[in-house]
Amino acid sequence: MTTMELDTQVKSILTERLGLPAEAITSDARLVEDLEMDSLDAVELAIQMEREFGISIEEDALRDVGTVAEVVALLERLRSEQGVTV
Amino acid sequence: MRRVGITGLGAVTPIGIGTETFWAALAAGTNGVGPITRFDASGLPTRIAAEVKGFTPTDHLPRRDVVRTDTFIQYALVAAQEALGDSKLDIERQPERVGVSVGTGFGGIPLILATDGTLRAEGPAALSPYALPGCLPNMAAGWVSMRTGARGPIAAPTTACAAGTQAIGDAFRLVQRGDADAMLAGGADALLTPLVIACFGALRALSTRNDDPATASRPFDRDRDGFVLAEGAGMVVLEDLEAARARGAHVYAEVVGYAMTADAHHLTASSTEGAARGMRLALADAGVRPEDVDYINAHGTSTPHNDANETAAIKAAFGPHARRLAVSSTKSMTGHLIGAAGAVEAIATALAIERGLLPPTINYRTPDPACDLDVVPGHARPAAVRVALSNSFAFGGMNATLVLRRASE
Repeated sequence: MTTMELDTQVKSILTERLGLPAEAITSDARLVEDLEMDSLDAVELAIQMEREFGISIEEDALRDVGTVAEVVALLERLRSEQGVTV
Repeated sequence: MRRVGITGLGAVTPIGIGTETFWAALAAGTNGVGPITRFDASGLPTRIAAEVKGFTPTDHLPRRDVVRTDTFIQYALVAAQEALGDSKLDIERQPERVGVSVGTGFGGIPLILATDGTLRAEGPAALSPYALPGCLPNMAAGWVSMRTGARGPIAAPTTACAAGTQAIGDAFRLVQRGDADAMLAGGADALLTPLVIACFGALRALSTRNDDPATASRPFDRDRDGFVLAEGAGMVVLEDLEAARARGAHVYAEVVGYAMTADAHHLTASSTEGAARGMRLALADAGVRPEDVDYINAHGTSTPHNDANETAAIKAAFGPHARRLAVSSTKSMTGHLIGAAGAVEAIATALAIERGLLPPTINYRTPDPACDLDVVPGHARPAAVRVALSNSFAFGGMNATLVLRRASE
């Protein structure tokens, strides 16, 4: 999966779960300030990303993630660390 | 004590989404029962229900709210939205003076079952953090409060089939006492699942007229064989009558009396004494005489026991006047909405008063000597209604009766 594909899929998950228009989910959109995500949203997002990207995400991994682009970067890092190639 | 008016109505029912659609269907004697389409019911003794048709939650609610809620909450939110818009009440002016009271019989059974399925199949790590708040019985009231900004008293009665009536009755008291100036009140249930159908089937409470769903809900008819499970929500706005009139709000009807009684008798069978005493107490609370009552929206479930017992209770409470008033069961059209039943029936009762039209009992074919009152069979009937009752009786022997009066009196 390329970075571009990851990026598209993360944005589509956020659009679906947060019920926001696709154009609101820009790469530099901030999860809390712009997208109004709360701690429950973060847990749910992590569960869904674990399922869709075949990785495991530590409980507090999303705590330091500020923007959509940082979510994509985190996923890329975890996929590479955990040896997920598909 | 203050007088209380109904200034807004909202309904999500098997015979229509939106109050005017619902009322037009009641007035036309529309059947809401059909084969179950929500799941494969082929192995169940009852394969019919009154489903809400054509409900796409995202047509009414933000997607973000839809994915966090089970269906009963969505129904409550849609009905509350309609009732609030209808009333034109401005909650933001004094949010602490507006409360919420939403009853439910079961809460989010479908989501509980789906979550249990996920737990068994994928383990605890796969569970959504929204599963628990999505199915708690108090969360219909919680969401209505969050989405409307109402910050006054909040309640969520869970008195099964009487929950909707109790929610409105308790809200009536809160406005009457001055604990709140207005209340969003009603009930919601959405529990069409194999589990619930099978459990009611185990109680032999449901109609098994699977080959003829359109006539399965036949309250007061001799050949009635059980109730038909339904779903939906009803919400009303109750307001201090003086304040409502001062702001020029339309008042559908006035709530003038309410009572609850317990039978202390039987798990599922209501008692004549408890139901009759509830009606008498509600009339006394309203300060009206039995002879003043023109119409009763009956609990009228279409079970052999309820309809005969309710008839006997009405006779006990009203004496000779029982034969002069009209008694209809709108469950003949809607099926039994459980915790939402009393709320949609309060709406039907308020509109019967406001519009001078008694909704009928459809599917009434063969008289039953045990149910020999005027049940407004077949077709709606124009009639001047000054005072009307709405009855709800629940498992556990819990009876609730509301008294409504024409707003102009």
